[in-house]
Amino acid sequence: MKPTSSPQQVTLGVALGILLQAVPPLLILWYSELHPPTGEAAGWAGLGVPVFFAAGIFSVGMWQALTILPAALLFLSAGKHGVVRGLLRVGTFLALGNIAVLVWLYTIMHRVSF
Amino acid sequence: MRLETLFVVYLISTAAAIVSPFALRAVDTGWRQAMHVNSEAALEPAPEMHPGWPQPLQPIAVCAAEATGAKYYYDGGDFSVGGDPSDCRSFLPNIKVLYSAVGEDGTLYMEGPRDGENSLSVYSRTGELKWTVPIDDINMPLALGRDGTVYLLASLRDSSTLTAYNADGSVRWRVTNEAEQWGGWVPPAIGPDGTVYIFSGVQSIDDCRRLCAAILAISPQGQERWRVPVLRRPSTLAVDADGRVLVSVPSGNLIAFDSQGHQLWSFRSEDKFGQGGVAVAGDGTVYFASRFLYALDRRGRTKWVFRPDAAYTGDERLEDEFAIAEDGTVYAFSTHHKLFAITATGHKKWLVDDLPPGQSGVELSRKGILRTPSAWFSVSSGLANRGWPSANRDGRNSRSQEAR
Repeated sequence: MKPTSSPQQVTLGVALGILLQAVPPLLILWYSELHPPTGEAAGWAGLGVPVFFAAGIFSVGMWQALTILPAALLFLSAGKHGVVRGLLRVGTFLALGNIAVLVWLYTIMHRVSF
Repeated sequence: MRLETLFVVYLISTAAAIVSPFALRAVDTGWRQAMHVNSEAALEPAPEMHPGWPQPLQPIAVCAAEATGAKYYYDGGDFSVGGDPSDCRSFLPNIKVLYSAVGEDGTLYMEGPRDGENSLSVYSRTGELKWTVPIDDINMPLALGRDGTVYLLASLRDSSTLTAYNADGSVRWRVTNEAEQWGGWVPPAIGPDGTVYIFSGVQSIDDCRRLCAAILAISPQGQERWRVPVLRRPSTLAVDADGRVLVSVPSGNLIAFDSQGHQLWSFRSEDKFGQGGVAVAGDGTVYFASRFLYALDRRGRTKWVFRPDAAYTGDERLEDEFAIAEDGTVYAFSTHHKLFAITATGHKKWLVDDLPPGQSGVELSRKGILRTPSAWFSVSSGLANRGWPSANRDGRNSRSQEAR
């Protein structure tokens, strides 16, 4: 199969990369719907969902690897190099953005505690 | 960019994102451990610890009037009076004491509910009721002039009233300020010339537009001498032997005014959250407990700073209230439930880190009984005679600076 690449494929890859970020939280929500916690754990679960999403925002640069990497390898084997480029750009942006957010947070914490 | 290169950049970025929280934590931990703290070994072992309250009953800092021979004993909200523990068991009835002070002649001044009504009750040294007056609210300690005048500041939501009571209980004068009072209470302090210093919300003053608050100087005759604005409600007012007014303004600000209301200096600590407590040693050194303990000279310059061991790694802070002994030792409690004795030169004299569970706080009597809510110690030197060595100035809780 001859590899192909085009600006349209790159745009598609970027859009796909962004959309894929919704997959892990949706999977977790779906799992929690199928297995609802009972008793005391139910209360903690209610508290845990927003905490989970907050944590997810700060770690999206890490968990993007769970979606971007498999998708990129899939499209690479299919010869869609443009889509792979788009996916990798989204993944790189998220990873670097994640580092920037963490450094910013630590800077604020230092200002507060020192 | 070649696809292979893009892949490598992506993989490196992702790896960096995964590693960065751990790396930042390691950097942060290393930074905190590298900060200077007083982790040195103590100069001497701590004195023997006696869990619980002093037994047999001994005069305690909040109500000891050792100068005249009368001694007062506090036991679960009741006061007893007498010359020694064997003949002092005549408890004062029907009063729950929230704040107390003792006059130079042994007269007891007590704020608390009496027969269900908030009152200021005054007893002789033998426990006889001299006079009692109802008061609006009990929210701060009184101040006691050297001539026996009682100054009581009642701070409500929209007004504050400073009342001066004569020694016979009659009202000498009242000064009222009608304004939003900013919540919280700051007990008055008396300077060596008898001037009473209070914090109050006021209606108008320079440099403020809506909510106005000020430190006011009131003469012993009830005349306002001066007022200076402050941006926030102070946590502490104290006066040193030279008549300088020391005002701790949260968070971490200490301002010194002269007796005419001119600002002498201001100091800013590293604290961003705490209230801050101030005391003055006999040699004029100003101590400011504001996260750490700062020793300042007469011009507000830092002489030294004492930082507890876990100041940066465990956010250990020194409590606002501390006591200065006659030999210059400072006794301070930390938020990690440790009791520090700190020399006048800023070194760790001794440390107790295995106190029984209990609340924080230290009180030091004139005779060297150092008491915390859960244990007490017999230390080498009692509360300092000069300066403003504890929160309410002295063992009598007078909040009144002595004239030189």
